[in-house]
Amino acid sequence: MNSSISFLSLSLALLVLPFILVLAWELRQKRNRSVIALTDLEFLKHSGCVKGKYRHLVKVMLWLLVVLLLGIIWSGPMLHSAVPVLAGGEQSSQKNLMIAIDISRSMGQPLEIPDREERFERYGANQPVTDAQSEEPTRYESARQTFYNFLERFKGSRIGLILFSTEPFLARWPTTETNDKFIEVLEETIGPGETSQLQRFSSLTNIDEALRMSRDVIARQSAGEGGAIILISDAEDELENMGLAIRITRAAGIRLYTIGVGISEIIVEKLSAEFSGDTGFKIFHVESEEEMQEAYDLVSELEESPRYTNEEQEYTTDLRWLIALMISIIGLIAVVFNETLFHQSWISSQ
Amino acid sequence: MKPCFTSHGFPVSRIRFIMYFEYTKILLLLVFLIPVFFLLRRSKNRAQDFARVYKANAPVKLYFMMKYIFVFTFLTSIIAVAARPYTESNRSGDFLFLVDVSRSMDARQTCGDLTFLGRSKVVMRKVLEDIPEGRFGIVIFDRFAFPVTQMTTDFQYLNEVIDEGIHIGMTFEATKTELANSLEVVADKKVRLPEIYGNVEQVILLSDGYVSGAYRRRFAEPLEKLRSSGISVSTVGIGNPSETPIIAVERDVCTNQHIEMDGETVFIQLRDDVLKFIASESQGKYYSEGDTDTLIADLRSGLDFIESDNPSGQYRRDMSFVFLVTGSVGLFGMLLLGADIRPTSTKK
Repeated sequence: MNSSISFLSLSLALLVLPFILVLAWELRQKRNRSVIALTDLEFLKHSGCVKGKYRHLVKVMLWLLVVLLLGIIWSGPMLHSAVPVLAGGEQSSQKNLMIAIDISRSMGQPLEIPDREERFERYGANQPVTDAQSEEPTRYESARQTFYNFLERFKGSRIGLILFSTEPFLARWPTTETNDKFIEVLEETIGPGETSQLQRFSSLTNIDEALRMSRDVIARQSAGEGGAIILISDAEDELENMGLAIRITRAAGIRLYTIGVGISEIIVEKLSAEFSGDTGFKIFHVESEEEMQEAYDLVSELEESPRYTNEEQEYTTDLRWLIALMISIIGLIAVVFNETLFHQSWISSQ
Repeated sequence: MKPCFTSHGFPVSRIRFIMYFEYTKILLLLVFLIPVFFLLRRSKNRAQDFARVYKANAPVKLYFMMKYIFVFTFLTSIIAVAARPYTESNRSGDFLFLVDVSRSMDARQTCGDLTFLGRSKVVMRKVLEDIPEGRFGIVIFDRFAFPVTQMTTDFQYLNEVIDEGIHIGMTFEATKTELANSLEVVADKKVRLPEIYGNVEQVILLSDGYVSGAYRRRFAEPLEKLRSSGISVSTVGIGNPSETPIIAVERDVCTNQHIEMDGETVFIQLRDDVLKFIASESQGKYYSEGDTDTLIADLRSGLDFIESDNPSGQYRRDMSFVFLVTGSVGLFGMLLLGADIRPTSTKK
């Protein structure tokens, strides 16, 4: 993103028009009304610094510069840049990350499910679920931990949260205030025996609606350009539907990363092949904590690339203080010159 | 950032604003005003000396006094603008909006009217505008109740959420209004998350109070929880005393057709009895939509003094504008004096 300057209210700069009129008056009036228009004694002694006929012009030009700078301050100049260039710059546009977490019933299951043979063996042996097994993180807990990791890694970005089951729910409009990790909502959990609101909300899975809401939220933000959706779900839609949803998302200029917990490897392979040339789409098949961590690392590295970072970040620096500083210095110099080199003693005859 | 100036601007609510400068080092430029003072005095003395020598009239004392005032006003103000002045209030308070987003809040008489939810948003924006020192959070409810914002002083963010993020049917099956559940959720959140909601003592409930059946028994437990957690509920009745239909909207276009259930038009009526009950039982107060100013005055009176030295997160107001005005007046005066604009009759 190139640097640019904008003005909060250019019309306010017109406030300096009377100032300019006064200066114009001073410039055009003939200095013949006073009998003696004396300059400073020092100037009389060393006449030659500024010639008499230019003195007036130089003085007016100096004050005109002050007046014009004052007009610029009134118009509220703002510098927009991809990186902070001056002290006092504030990040006005951030990377947009919408994270959609599936909270359907199946997400309350453990992340690492034993394979089919092992499950049959367990059923056959009538083995109860051990404490160690019940303490394994559920898919939801693992997804939530991954979400926390994203929050930690992308501090300063605008991060929003959608929880979805049969319908999506916008749990947090994208915000840069992520210190509390959205614990107000995510303190609740889902799983067998839970009675939380999330558990009651939990039902089937509707990925299409979750993606639609994610796109919609990014589009409706005041700085809604680009951005990425990170979808964490354990369900897959039909290949055709998923392909269509991906194409719509990508057409909107939004990157999409799908972390599929235990989803069909065939779908992952087919979608990966179909969108192999598109760096804005990635799908991951995860079945363990390690694979979840790998997916998280890959998505983070992609999103941290300068291509996506510089494009979507913008710093806005209020230039009023800087111009006021310039006026302070020029104003001081102008006053000093006014009282020395350009000084005129308004003395009229008796 | 050291406090440099204190003003006592709001005697009624006894709120004080303390002025700070972000770049205090720039204020060192004020030292240059000392030689400027001597320079001006020298000019004045010389003008008077010349007048004496040439037996002429020097400018009157008022001229020099005005010159001093204008020069110092201009330079001091501009240096202050460069130092980025701002004020912070020494009072703040945590408030939670509890907003009804159930289907009944979609009611309105005609397509040209605001829906009940739209009217709730007007009240919320007004509260935010008039209590800039506060920290606010938003919890929405229908069948469920979820916080949709963090507790924040970022009013731009809150307004964006109000404008874009809150709508009817935020959670699946918005057909039910579980007011009791929402009150219980708020009370539980304060107990479970004291680091976030610990200072919330006032909840502003915006609802039409549309609940079915006997409600007093259902509210008993949540209200007891609210009382024990030190939360009072200020209820704002949103709606009409007369029955109001819900008008169907298809593809964002108002159709003028009323929503029906079992072949009969659904009408919504403001249940202020429910809202008054909640307010009185939680030691809060009931307000109608027209009483927003009273609500704001009451909320303001509940603002607490901030004892912490840490100013982060407090309401901050940029004061550059004030100094810019005084600086401009000073400069204009200087230029007028310099241009010697006087009525022709007085010129000699």
